[in-house]
Amino acid sequence: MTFVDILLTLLRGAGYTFLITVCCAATALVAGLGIAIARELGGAWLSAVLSAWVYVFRGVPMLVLLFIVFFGLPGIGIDVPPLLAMMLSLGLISGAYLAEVFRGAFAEVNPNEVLAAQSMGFTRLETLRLVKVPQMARFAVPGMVNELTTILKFSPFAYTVGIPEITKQAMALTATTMRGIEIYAALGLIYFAIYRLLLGGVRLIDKRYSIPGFAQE
Amino acid sequence: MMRRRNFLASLALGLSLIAVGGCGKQGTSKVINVAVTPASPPNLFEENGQTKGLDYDLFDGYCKARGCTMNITSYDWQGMLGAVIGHKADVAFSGISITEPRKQVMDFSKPYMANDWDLVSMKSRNIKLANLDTLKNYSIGVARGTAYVEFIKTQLEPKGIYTVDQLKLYPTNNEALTDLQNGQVDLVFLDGTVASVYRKKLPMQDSYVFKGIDHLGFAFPKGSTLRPDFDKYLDELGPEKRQAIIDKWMK
Repeated sequence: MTFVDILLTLLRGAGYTFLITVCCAATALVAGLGIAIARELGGAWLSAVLSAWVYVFRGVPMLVLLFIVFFGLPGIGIDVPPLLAMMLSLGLISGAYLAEVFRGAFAEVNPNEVLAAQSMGFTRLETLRLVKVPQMARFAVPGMVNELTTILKFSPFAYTVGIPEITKQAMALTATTMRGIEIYAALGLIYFAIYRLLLGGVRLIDKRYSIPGFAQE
Repeated sequence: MMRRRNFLASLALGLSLIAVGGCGKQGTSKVINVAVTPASPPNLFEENGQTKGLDYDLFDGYCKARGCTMNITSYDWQGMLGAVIGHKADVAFSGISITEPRKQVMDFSKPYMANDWDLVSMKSRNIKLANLDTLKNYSIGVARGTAYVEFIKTQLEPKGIYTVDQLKLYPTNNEALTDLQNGQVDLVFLDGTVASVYRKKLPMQDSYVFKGIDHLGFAFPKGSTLRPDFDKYLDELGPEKRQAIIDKWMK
């Protein structure tokens, strides 16, 4: 078995790794954005509840939450499919981290612009939608890329719940060939290739929405 | 704006369909959800993307006799056992030892084969143990979640032979054997069946063999109705045909 054969065998799981990363990233984005916006609009009570949510989800280990969701919930009659279990564990944990990234990015928006919008009669929702979120999203790009990378690197947990992603392929292949060094080197290369692919996608979106001179003051 | 809303709605619908339908259970009663871990040759492994092995052949024979099909999902070892306990799978097999703690949370078929437990070492180290008196002088590696840990806790620890705290735990046999080759651990616990495969690939030897203490079984969720029928099939198969399947993979 040549190194190319190893790469081709592992690539059987690459689609699942990509799917897990994209689905969990989408979940994290929706959860993180929802929490950050609700914190901006909500009162002290809602903000305290959401802070507690973020505190818990940032603190709980990924594998523990995955086991609770996938193996624990069926015990009370809730059957969660594997990919949904990953979205509810990895996705929500990353969502909590993204909520903090967005909170920091909201704080970077110039308060004078918010004041100007309010003096022109913008409602809180309009100020958020037209002034704060467009700037916040651009400030948050580096933090979002970091979190996307983390999601990709946590995707091998999916094997625990039966999704045949690339790390599973590597373990199965190592069990029959005992060529661990070559197989895990090939695995690292594939992860790096997926990372570059995702990074390229983010850069394209970043370029499409970039404003010359913005965030360089 | 409407186009953007439609896009978001389609994305949400698409994701939920993937999440709910992607890996769900099959609807027909003739499909049996099987949990395996394909890192246990010769009992269960993958070759060119195909699931193979001794355990697979036995259950494949059952399915052919009863007209059912297998829906196989690969997990890591702990995930495989969790899938049976959590009723995610109807049966699990990959050389699973029948132990008392496991019997409390899952049902087992009749034992289908006896199994030795080998403490293996690299030939270059030339470690040979005539008895267990000097075992505590060596580091032992085991895969997490395997029955060896319970064996050491209940059988060796009370006699002062070895303690669970001295063990080095690894995700699977692969990592334990890699560390054995690297010289980071002196001995590794392997099933006799698994050791017979790896002895052909690695310059290793048995340093000590525990005989007659382990039996392998197919694991079913508690209260499974499939288990009695599978036991019935094992009786129908008979010891000679069962041994022929075992010999096919062990030799």
